[in-house]
Amino acid sequence: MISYRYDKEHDILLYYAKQLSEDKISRIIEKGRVDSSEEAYSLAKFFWQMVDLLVEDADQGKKVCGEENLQEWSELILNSLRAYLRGNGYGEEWDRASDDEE
Amino acid sequence: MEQFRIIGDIREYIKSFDAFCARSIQRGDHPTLYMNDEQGKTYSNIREKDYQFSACKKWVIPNSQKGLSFSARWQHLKDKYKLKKKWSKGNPVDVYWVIERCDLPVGLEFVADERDKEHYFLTVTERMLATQLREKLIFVANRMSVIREVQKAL
Repeated sequence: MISYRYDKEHDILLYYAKQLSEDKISRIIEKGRVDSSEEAYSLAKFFWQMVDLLVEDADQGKKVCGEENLQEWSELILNSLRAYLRGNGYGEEWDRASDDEE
Repeated sequence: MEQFRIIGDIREYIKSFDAFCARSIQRGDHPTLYMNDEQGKTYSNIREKDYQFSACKKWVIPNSQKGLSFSARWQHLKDKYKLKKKWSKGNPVDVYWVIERCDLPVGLEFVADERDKEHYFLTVTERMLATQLREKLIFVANRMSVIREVQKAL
């Protein structure tokens, strides 16, 4: 299962999955695990998409799930998703999605 | 001071060290302290979520899975660097680092994240005042080497 340090990480992920109408990602977040390489890559790609939205929302002074320190939350979520994916055999998927950001 | 144009250059440099602990820092920010609350609520320039504080917020309590975040491997540093670049609004992001086995102030210790062995926490091993931890973090910052990103020409 994806292990979060703070429950709010899960809430923020779900909030942005819904904002982006990413039903597949919402289901992954809700079940708390990925079951395939394709799901792992999709989740990792989604994370980096979400960061772009977090930056935009922070620039506009927006609170998300009651939180305003969105940069800090992006760091926490990176640590949680990265640890889960790399710790469960999906390191290549995480790295590929991360490298796509270059 | 060594200068590198792109993060790929940093990779070749930092890979030459077996065990390092590094942080990506936006130019102008402190390598171990937070001078305002823009990146999270702080007490004595220490982020609340980085350490376990007492209820009165004056003390920092030992917790082996809490501490200032450091990358201990290239791949982790790369991810944190990319994340920092997204938040830096085009400003340069530098990499500050120390070798893992450096002389740390009494009461501080690098501990691997139980969830991710490429990620380390600079933990406190004994109860101390937040102001004392602040001084120790300044000491660590002064021992860190820096790899500077060169700003793109306008």
